[in-house]
Amino acid sequence: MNSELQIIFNWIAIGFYIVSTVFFAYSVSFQKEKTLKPAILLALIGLIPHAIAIAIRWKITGHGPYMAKYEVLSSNAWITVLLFIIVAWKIPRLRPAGVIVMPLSFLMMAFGLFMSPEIRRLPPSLRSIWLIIHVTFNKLAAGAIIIALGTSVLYLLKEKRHDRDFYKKLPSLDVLDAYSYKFIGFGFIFWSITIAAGAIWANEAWGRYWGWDPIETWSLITWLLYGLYLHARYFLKWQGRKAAWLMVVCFAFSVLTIFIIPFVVESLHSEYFR
Amino acid sequence: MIVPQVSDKSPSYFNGWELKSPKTFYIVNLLQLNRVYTSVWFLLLVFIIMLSLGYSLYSQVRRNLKRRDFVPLSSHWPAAADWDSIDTKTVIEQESLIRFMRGRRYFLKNGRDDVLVFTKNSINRWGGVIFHSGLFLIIIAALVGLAFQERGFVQIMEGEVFSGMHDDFLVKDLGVFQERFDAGFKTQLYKFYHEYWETDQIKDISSSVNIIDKDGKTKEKTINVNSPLKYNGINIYQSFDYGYALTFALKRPDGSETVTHFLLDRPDRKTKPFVGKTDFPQTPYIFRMKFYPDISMNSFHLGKPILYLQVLKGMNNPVFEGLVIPGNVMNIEDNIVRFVNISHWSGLIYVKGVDMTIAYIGFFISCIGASIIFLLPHKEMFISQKGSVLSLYGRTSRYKPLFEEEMEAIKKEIKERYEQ
Repeated sequence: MNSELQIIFNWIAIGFYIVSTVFFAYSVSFQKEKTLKPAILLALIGLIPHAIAIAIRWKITGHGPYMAKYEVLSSNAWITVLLFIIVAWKIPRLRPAGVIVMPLSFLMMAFGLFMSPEIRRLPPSLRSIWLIIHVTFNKLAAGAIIIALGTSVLYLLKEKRHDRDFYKKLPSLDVLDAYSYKFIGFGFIFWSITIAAGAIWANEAWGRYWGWDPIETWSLITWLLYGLYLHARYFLKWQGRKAAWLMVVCFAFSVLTIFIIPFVVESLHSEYFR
Repeated sequence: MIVPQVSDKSPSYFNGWELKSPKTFYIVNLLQLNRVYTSVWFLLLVFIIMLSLGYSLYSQVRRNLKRRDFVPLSSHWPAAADWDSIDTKTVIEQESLIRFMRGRRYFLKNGRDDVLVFTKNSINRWGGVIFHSGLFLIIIAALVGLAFQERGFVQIMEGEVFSGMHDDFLVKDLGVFQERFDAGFKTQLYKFYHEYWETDQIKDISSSVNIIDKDGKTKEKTINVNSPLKYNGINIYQSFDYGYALTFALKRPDGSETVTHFLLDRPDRKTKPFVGKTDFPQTPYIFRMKFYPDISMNSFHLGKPILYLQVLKGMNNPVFEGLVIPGNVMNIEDNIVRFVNISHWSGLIYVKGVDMTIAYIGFFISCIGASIIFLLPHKEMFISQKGSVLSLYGRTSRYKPLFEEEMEAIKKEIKERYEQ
């Protein structure tokens, strides 16, 4: 019964996120600023059934949302929406980024629901405080990166359609560019902590802090790529369109590391994404 | 990894490879492609990265020490055109202005008599140094590990004693400058425990062992996942490799007997068998086995065990096929084969601790450094007053457009607060 209930709450949340996306899309497409507020409100309301669904699942499984695609994707989406709402509240001009953030969030959730909502238990190696630190920071990194993607895409859109009224109301291109830089900075820090916590945990569990496991290696590649982005901005003065496209490439690598590599290779980490 | 690594495969695998294709094996071994992460060239690569990072760090420190703060010399004073002016229509007291700026976390630094210079997050210029110092420490730790690590894996059956000697490890992973790894004590596996969730996933595994030191003294210890046994400078970790060991004895017509143990890996579902296909040493036979710990075929635990055994002579010539249980005796050609017993085996990882504290400190420092760089951008604000006209100039190390907005907000606030 509880199991069905959490699926129902998940679908309710997805419903709110879809409607929120429609409002965001309407706002961006038809340059209607008025619909941004209800879009944010709908996303905020959607967070509640989403949180309930995660809490029910937590109670059933006895562990946090970090095993199986369903849990991982659902909790990633929750953190992303929450971070986005905080950003939208603090910096109202970034609200249109919801047109990127919200569909990515509900697609993550729906994908998880379709793939594997069945319960998976925690193996002994994952019963460690370091897992919670490792996973939490990874989710925060994912959230920050998705928001950075949102601001980068808005930059590219505004640059292309700068003459339209709606885009004039967005922050200036320079400001959007600076926010992308800032959020990637956050993402980079969180990603670093994720790797650090994972390494300490690996040393406790298997006696080595780095084992060149495929996901470890890809995580390092992604981290280096974000490092490259930050260095390119600081030393080579990359900004604007070039930086926005580099961000899109970095994002593609993050998706590859977190969601695709666990599917295609045998890894210690694939346990969380089976 | 495309090329099999010595850290994953047993020495017999590489012996087989060498016999099958000696030239390929020679090249792979010469280039150390079968031990990439403990090869000399990989160590050299990491060493070059360390040197490059070290030089970058040195340059950053030198630059920061030369430039004690960001307040420029008079020759680099901002050009008049870069200043913004606001007329507050009143003369603001310096103290009041300093308090106002302090409220926005801008602190008076220094400057010329007629100009107040405020800074915010001045620690930011050390952010890069802190971050890269952390990375530098991590790379040093990695180098030490690559050079001196001692790591070995062994499969021990219940009741069996592992000597702890270099040659008895199944798989070894040694640093570039390490030639041997001897634990210095023996380990006997007394009992292996395994528990499962209802979803067939592992709930818990542990090994109960007796540690036998050089004097023959025995200590009982338990090794759990995430809770290694630390003894005599060596950490012993519980591996996820474990399963059942089936013991067979083969008696030849001349009366000589060979006893061997087949170690079968566990399946991921209890409905699947533990499988194995291995040579029977000193015989022409290959044993292909499908073992169910319980005849119900629905348990990982030993109940009424049953083994489907196929004995091949050469690759494709079956000489025996059938279901057997412990105690059964089979005639295979002129030999008598007895299924002696079943026990557990456990995989244990031995690591002689290269201290990784330095790596942890490095991680911690680099996280602090990254936070300083990206969360606390350095900002400077120059304010000069001539009569009621206030001139402002500002600059930042990062996020310039956001800083410009902040400056606009400060100007607006000053105007609202002081304008009469």
